[in-house]
Amino acid sequence: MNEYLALFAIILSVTSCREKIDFDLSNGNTKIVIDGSITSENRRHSVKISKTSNYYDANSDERVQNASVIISDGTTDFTLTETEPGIYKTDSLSGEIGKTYTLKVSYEGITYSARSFLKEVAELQAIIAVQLFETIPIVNEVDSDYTVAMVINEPEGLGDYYLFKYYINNRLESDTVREYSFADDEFIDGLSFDTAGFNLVPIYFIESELVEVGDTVKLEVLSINEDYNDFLISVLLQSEFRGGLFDGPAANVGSNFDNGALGYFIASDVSSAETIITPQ
Amino acid sequence: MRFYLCLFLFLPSLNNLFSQDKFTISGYVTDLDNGEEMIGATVRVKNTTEGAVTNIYGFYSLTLAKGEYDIVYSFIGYSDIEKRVVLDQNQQISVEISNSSQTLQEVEITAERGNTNVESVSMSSVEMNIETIKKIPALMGEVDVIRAIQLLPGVQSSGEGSTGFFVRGGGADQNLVLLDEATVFNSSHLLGFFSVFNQDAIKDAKLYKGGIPAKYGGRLSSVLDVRMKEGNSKRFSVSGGIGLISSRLTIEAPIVKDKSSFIISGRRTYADLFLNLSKNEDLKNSALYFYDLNGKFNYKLSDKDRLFVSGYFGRDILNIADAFKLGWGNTTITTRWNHLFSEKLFSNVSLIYSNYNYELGIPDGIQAFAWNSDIINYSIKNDYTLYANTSNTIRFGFQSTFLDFNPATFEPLDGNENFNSLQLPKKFALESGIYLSNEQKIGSRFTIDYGMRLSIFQNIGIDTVYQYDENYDLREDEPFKTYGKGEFYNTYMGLEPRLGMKYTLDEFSSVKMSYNRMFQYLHLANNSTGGTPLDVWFPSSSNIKPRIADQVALGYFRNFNSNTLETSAEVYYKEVTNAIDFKDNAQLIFNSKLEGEVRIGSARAYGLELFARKQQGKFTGWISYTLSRTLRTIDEINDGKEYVANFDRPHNLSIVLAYDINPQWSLGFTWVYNTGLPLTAPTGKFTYQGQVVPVYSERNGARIPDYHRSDFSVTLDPKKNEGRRFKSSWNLSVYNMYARKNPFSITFEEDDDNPGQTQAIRTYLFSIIPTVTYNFKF
Repeated sequence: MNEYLALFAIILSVTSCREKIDFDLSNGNTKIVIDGSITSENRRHSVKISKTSNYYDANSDERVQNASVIISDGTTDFTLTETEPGIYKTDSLSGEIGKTYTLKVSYEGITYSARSFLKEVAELQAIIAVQLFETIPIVNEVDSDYTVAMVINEPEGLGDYYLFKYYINNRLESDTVREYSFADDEFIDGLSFDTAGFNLVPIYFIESELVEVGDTVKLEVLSINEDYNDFLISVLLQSEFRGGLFDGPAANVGSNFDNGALGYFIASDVSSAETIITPQ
Repeated sequence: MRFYLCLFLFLPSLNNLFSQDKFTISGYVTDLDNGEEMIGATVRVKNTTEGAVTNIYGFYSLTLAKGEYDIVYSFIGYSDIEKRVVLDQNQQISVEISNSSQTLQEVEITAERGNTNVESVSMSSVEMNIETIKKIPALMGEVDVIRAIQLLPGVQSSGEGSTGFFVRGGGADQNLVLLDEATVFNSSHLLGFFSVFNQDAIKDAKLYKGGIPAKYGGRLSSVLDVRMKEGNSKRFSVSGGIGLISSRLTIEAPIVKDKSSFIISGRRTYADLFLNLSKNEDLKNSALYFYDLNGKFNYKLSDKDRLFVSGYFGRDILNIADAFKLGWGNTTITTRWNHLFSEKLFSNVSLIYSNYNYELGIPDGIQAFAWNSDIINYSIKNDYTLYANTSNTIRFGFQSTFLDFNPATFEPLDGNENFNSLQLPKKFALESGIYLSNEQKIGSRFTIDYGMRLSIFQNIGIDTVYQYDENYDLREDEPFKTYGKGEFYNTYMGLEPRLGMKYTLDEFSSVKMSYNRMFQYLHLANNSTGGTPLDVWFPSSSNIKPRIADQVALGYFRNFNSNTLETSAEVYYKEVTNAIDFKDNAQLIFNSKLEGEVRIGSARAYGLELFARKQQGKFTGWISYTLSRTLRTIDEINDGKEYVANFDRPHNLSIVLAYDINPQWSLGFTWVYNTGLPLTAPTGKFTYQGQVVPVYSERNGARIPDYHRSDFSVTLDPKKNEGRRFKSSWNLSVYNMYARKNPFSITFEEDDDNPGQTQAIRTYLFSIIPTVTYNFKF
């Protein structure tokens, strides 16, 4: 619901002015940042390791090379190899539902670790992508956008968290946090969705210029947990949503690593479905 | 406990109260012109130190030994009235005093003035009538009580143009804002740029920053007691104004002359007309405005009984592209009955209703929904003042309030089956207080006002209360407890001692001291410095203990130039136990586990306040300077180290001047300077999945540049107004005269044109804003 706060900022932007200024900042200690995940898909899972830089530095993404990186499922250790600077990959393997995975990164004598439980996700039965020719303020301003909606039986009981990603012709389009769609089941708990009667929850809106008739649109749903959901919200609160008039206090985003490392390690079950864009 | 009991041993013995060689003069002081009761008018007995001050209903009572006296009735800006009284029995004397502004320019009043501010036991409080406030240059021509309050020592503004205010280091939710005794839960309009108080309907406002009387309770830091006009009881009158962004109209008239009258006052802004200037199509189809309506009716049932009914209704509407709607506002209704049991015992019973709600939603389409939230309270209040004798004024009473909180109701609309409807658990509570205090004169120099308030807060079912472990996660063994309807399942009690002392040094100076303890059982879920309308109030509960503030203040009061120049210096120290803040990245809206976002610690605030005010003559105004700090310590925030509060501004200077050049022309001027607000500045950054995220090392460790601004106004009362009933005036106000780009905020963000590169951005709201307002009255 944070987008509604952004509305006030829009109204006030009529009278307010923004300009770049010089503001001296001090520099903090450098910290390690780890972005890792494992999913139920059979593929090479990757971990990115970087470190923090000074705020005004041109480079915001300083990679960390030559770290030792292991993912363990409690019985087996999978060692990751560095395939490009700061990117470490497993061999092809798939995460299993019900297991807890541990990521361990050792760098300059310190080991940073985080754990994540791989929870089953509701099966995505089908998706549709249609032009509804309807606008939804702030969220979807252009009525020719394709609305991507899902067919899913949301399991009864609160506490399910979802992250959605979409692909056009197998190219990941939602590739930054600001483009992610993620949600909990508070408003949709136990509901079944179908395509009949346009009974839809829009997950994504795709600009009509981006797709053509015949293109394949794929939607992935990943199981995440409450803590990661909060982490993603805090990433947005501290970056994309910042600059409004009603910001809460600036604060560090969370992390599930120990020893002061930033970032997150998340294990997810994945379900996906595809549709082909047809003439409307 | 023993200490508290001792206090009451001072209470005068009963014999003393009813001795027969003394008589009482009592009555009302009203305005000759319109019959309005004068609040805080002084009643002095010439050539003695005896005197009284009228209460908020204009009533006074003064008990003197048998004899002959000259009684002087006076009020700032009004001509004195002197009455010779031969006192050999109880007497009722009501007087009407007349506004002296018409004659001001011919005769500079230099007569001996009252030294109430030196003689009175009260400190850390300021009373302002609307005429004083109207002399201050106004933002967009909209004269505002709260904006005037922000220019007083010890009061900080929450930001450029905002009517949020912080008193002596207390948060915005620690101010008890009352409109004719009804609690106003959100006193702002238009996202904070205007307050709910319409200048035409308001008579007077009094702010207590410390030494808070025992009759008030429920908030830690201050009481802003705003009183509405009663309505002209002499004749039918209409007044109004047309300004750049709003218009006002007020009608007042007697119903039965000198017995009953009413006032109705309305206001509507049209700020959204500016939206039409926007290039954005959606903004053109949008609306942003507010309106409000004040009404009051009074009836003198008899010499001893008076009835007042007053109400306020206000609403803000934000409508974006006809597709998203947000509305919010307050409603208050107060019914009061004054009764005089005798010339010494004044009582009032009030029944009060107050409601703040907001609603938002998308009216149609596949996402259609409505969402609303409110806080409602129903209150009964009964206050007594016993003017026992010249040395003792005893006040006692009780108040009981039933509170009904609805944090949020979410309802899909339009046959929308994509969402469940959802109701966050409602909360119910009963907040009560009883109090007793006595203002006692001991000798001619020393006055002590001592009292005690007992507050009781009870949570009532139906309720579901989540249980948290030490990590603020839900307890696994028992995640929540449920309580049945009407079940009183949690009770807090607080003993709140109040003390004020004054010692007169000489005719023009005194020293004062005060102590108060306050309990607060309601909390506001809002962690931004700017006020949003999405205010969610939540009660203390088994998870959230009441907040407690202890404040000590010392003051030196000195008048100069025959009491025309009043000065004071005060120092205060305040400590808050169970201070609350919210965890980092807290989610405060639509969160059923809101209590899990609260973090508890302690807070302290201290400061020095200097104030000089001149209220009479052609040249009036004040200078206020505050040096203060506000600090918090909360384990889970800032690594448990003490940090400065979001609104900590060590230096704060306000200069407010008004000059009446001649009967036609008058000028107003203000200059405000304060230290920039604290800022949490990044000390590093990293990239997470395409998003550049800042890293911080200390909360509020930096500051935005200092704030200063000057405003100016000219008012013309044309000569043709003289001697005719229809009077009109023009007001030109210039806000931010030298167009300083005061930062509203400084934020750190990624450069849109150059991803990965980060920069500091200053947002400022107002450059220079000139406004013309036309006011009329007949």
